[in-house]
Amino acid sequence: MGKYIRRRILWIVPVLFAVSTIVFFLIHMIPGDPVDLIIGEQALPADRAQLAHDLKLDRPIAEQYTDFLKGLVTGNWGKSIFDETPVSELIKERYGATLLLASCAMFVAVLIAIPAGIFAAVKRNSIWDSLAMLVALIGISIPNFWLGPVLILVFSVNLGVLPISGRDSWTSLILPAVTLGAALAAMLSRMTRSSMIDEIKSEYITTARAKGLSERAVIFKHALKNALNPIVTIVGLQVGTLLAGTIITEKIFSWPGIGMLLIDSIRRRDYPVVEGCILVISFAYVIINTTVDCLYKAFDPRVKL
Amino acid sequence: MKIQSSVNLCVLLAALALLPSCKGARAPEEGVLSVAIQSSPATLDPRLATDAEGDKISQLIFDGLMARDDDLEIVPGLAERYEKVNDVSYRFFLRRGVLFHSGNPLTARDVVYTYKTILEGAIASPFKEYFSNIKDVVAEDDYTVRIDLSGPYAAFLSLLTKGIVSEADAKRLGGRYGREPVGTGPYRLVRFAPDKIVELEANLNYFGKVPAIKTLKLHVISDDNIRVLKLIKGDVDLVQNGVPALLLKKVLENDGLEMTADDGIVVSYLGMNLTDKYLKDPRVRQAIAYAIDRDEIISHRYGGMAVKANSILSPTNWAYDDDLREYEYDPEKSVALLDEAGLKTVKLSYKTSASKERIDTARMIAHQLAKAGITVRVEPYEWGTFYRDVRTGNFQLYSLSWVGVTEPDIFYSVCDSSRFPPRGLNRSRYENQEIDKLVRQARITMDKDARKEIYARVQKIVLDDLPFIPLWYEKNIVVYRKSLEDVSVRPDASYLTFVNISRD
Repeated sequence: MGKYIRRRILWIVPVLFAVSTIVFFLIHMIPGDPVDLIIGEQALPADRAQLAHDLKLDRPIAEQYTDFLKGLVTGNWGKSIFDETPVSELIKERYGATLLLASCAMFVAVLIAIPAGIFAAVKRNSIWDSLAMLVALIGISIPNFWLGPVLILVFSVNLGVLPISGRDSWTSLILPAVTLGAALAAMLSRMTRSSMIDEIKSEYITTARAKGLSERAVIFKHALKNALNPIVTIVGLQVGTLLAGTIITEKIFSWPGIGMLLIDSIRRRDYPVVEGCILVISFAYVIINTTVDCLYKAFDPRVKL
Repeated sequence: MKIQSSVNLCVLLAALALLPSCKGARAPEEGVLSVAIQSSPATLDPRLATDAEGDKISQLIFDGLMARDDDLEIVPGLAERYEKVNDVSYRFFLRRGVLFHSGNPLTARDVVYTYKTILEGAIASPFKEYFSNIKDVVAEDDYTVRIDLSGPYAAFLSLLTKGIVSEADAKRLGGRYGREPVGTGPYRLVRFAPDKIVELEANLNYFGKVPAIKTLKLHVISDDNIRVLKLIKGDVDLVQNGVPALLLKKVLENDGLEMTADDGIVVSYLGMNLTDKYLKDPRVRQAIAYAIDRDEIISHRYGGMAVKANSILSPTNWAYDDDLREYEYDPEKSVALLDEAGLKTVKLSYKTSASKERIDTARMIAHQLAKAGITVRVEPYEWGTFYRDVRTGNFQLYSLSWVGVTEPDIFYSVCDSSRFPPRGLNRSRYENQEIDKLVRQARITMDKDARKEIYARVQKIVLDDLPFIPLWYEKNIVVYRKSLEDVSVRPDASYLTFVNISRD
């Protein structure tokens, strides 16, 4: 186990190196020049060249890449090309909001999905099962950009119980978290249901029942514990996806997260900020996946790592 | 299990019931004017701000030596008066006792510092070229500034509306000045959270009109629907040019809201590349102009809240010529012009940014041009790519808008043959010796009436030659809560009108 964890942690380094390299070259390859966007169309060629020099964009790409790698290693991620704010400061300012939103969305998803999945599995082939799975199907099918405004219409405009957007109080978090978590809840509930059904059909469950255990103990102590493995995998993968995929929800609810920062920075060709954002998102993704892999062992001692 | 589910449901319902109830329009926050803006400003430093929100908000925080009044006429700002020493030298006398928001007094050194940091490249200002006629700026004493020009320049005073920064604060804050600006304007910055809010507070020591409502909150709400919902709900008091025209009627059905609208100076245009094999022929360009049914587009896309354009200058501009021709929709004339040019088929690409409104408009124009036998392929591009193509001449047709055109000298940048990008804004690569002569002459003609005559001639020639097709001027529309008083809108949609707003 220890060896496996060490190996996985060591793998993080080449993965991040590969991601950062790809991002660095991709962002530099796409058309559009930050110099044009900063200094405008009418700038004299000499001023244009001076700005490119000041921003160190006039040097060979290999040299820029070496500097970029040095910055990564030393923790100096540079400054925004546009307002000279340190990249680390910008990310710190925004990533907290994204982490909060993604965590709450995941909390909402798990809170809805697991009980719904268990309930559907226990009552399988009943009207309740069909109803739960129908709701799940609808949840998966509804896109964020539609669900968000509809929730706002119902809960903010018509009922007037929740704020429309912004981040002024904890109540501001409810609608974006539900919007972001809805599709995930739907997927997780289907996954929980099918995983639970597989377990419930197993012989050891029959044995447990034969021993006279209560249905509650059979379901929660035996079946659920074993059914959790694939669910944890999906939850882990989805946390990473949530962290990177909040942009639409952020836009709808004016949530000042990293997604908005990333999109603005790509539009403005703010290379250091784009690179910093992608690296942080990738890092979170890799760490979460590694953690999930390690959790397998905790959930299922049969797994050999 | 059933009992537990019921309990969970009750808990959820109770939680919802306990949430603060605010059905209907929310009561306004005392002493606060809440406004929704469409995007977050990139910077609030007036020497750097080129985006619409950055420019408008920095006008609230900073003052220029000169200012523009509600009719866009140039009037004294931080300079209470000026004198013309000679054709190339002006002397400005600063108001005394003006303080920056930090408490530092405004002196001539701040004026010198502001212009020199732009001119000498201490900061990468996109305005350096605009100020290039300024040869020197000298502080003659604490309250007198002399500005020497490299030659007579009729539009000189319009440059001086750019905000004056505080030397001490700009040096202290360095690169952070754009996020923590310190000016002399009617409002001072309280907080700037990008993509969230810009909060301003009235400058009670302001030498001009002190804002009636003490706190101004500019909420960044980029989604059109959410902006409208927040207005209806009462979360914001006012939206300027941010309610989609097609939603206006529906929004105004709300009892608590009303609207004021007036002519604006933003002009949308269709750019054409005059080095293209088809578009170098003026008959083809005119054929395109006659094939566009602007009334239809204004009606369908703008709900009638735009006016057909025939110049870069809007009719509110002093130099606008009232006798300009109109290219009325006439597809038959369009076909005849193409026949005259010996063209059976014309195939063009039409580049546009990826904004939905731009793409929809481009498709409407393409559809209309098809009726005249002009096949147009609409190509939307991400902004950076699109802008590079426009700048480098890699296009046949494209559409954009000129924003904030108050000075007719723009014709020099846009039409003079020496001003092809990257030296200017002549993106169409338009060459006409008469135009070159006229726009250069207008720059050094100090008599306003004489300048107006020159620009009238320029506008006529440009409209005949059509290096670009002016399409429409968008109206400025403000939707606001009825409890607000003295709401108005200027042709340049400046936020300075917020200073006058009070609450019933």
